[in-house]
Amino acid sequence: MLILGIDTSTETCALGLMNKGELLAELNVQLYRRHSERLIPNIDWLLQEAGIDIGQLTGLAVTIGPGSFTGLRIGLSTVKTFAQELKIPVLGISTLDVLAYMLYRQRAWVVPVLDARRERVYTALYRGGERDIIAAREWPDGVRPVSGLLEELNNLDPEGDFYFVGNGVKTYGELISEAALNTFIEPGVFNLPRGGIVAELGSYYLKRGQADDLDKLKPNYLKRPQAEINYTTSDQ
Amino acid sequence: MFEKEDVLIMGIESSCDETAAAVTRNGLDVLSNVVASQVDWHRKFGGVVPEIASRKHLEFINPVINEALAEAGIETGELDAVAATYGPGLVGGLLVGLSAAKALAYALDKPFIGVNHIAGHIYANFITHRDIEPPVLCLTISGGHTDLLYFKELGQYKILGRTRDDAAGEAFDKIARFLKLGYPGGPVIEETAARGEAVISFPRALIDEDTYDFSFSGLKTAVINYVHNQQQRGEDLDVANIAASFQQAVIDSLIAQLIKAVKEFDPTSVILSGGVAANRTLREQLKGELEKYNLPLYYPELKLCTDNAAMIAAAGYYQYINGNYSPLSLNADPNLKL
Ligand SMILES: [Zn+2]
Repeated sequence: MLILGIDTSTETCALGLMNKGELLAELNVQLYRRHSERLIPNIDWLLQEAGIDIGQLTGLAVTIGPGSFTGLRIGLSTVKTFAQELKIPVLGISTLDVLAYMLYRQRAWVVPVLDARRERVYTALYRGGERDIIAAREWPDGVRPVSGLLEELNNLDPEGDFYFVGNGVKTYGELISEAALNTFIEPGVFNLPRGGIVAELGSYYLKRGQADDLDKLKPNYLKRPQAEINYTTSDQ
Repeated sequence: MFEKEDVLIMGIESSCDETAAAVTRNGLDVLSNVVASQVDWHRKFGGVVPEIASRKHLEFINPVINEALAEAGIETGELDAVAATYGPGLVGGLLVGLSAAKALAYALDKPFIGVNHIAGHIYANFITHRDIEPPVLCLTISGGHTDLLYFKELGQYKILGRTRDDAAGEAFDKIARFLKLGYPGGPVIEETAARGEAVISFPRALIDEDTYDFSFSGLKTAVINYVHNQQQRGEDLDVANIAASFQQAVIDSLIAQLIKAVKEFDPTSVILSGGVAANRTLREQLKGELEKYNLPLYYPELKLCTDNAAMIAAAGYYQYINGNYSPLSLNADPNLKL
């Protein structure tokens, strides 16, 4: 299988190209708000460097969040249109799965954290040591206050080791280090979602027939639109 | 089957609350024109909620593209280019349509063309009326814009004036919401106004000034103040009269600026476009006014008046034949000017 993996859920544009389990090319670049400008040109560059025409792809993988709503929509609109046009399967992957996968060999708890602002993180919990990262999941994706997360982890396994990864580490590293549990903070290079891993997870699960229904594939926003929240909490 | 020299363009539109895709042949022949309206999702909020609109665009965009192709009876491989609105509009929605259009163009290895939404509204007129003679004055009025344009030939516009605050359609929505009449505001205000009379005097901003610009925020405040005053005095509200007076103030402002431009530019035709162009009271009064100058008034059929993608494909065609393609790095521009 020749799989293109795409992640635009955070400030990083992450692309990976995998052929039969081998990484052919990868591009990870911090773009901040320039996903719309750079996504297709970056894909074009990646494919050209690898000597691949887009028509040769046999599968697509894309992160569906949590993350920036706008970034997610740019990624998904692009990938869904590719899938529709090229008639190839597509897999939506949690951004947190991508981060957790980098540490799957740790025999410890893995806690990816993405900054959700105001001392909150998008997070989930994984058992280390298992390559099938979806099977290794203990919690579904959610948004939690950093302090509440640390407390919950402490209640869950006071003696356990917890490895934190993701851009939330950059913002809340101090809070995490000072927590009353055994926390380990990964070096910065692990904190960005990597395109190679998106493609790798795509290969892994698409090979097992776990493609998503194109019509149902959408971002995992984890938050209703503010207007709807206001509407239901007003005089309804 | 199409002649080899036929040019097939797909247009994609997602700048406000309609997700739309269309295919045109040689610019103005509409082979398909599919619009998924989100009005049901925005109604309870009395206006378009950008985040909800963006989410709906992403849900609708691929099915709408498929339907446009199926209706046109073509395969994507037969397209000569893919055009999409890149502004002005709500940035979150624009990015969904733009990303899909760029992805499709890239996968097809065909040119991608970024289109100005306002230019699209102008071309909508030429789809309905092939005989419009330039020079033309064009008033585009909708929930997103109020623009007075002048052009000597297709492709060369000059913007004379635009709204300094609310768009005309936005003013209708806000007042409809304030008067609890429902959404969208244009049709409900017109319907309510028909039962009343324009007896309350509300301001017509800027009409006596040396500008072609529009302003509706003062009018909105005047209506709100009037209602509050009536309520404080414990008097019954005549909603039909308020709606009629408000609508007349908007119409007078629009017509006054347009007629000012007629005198200055001496056009051959006048075009009305955008969602508010569907307002019959406005059409009739403007038509009557223009008869004094022996000028014909054109407006597109209703489904081409409101936001649609056939107009984007049509505008895209004229860019295509001029070789005016866009790079795949084109970004959305919510404040794009003509
Ligand atoms: Zn419009």
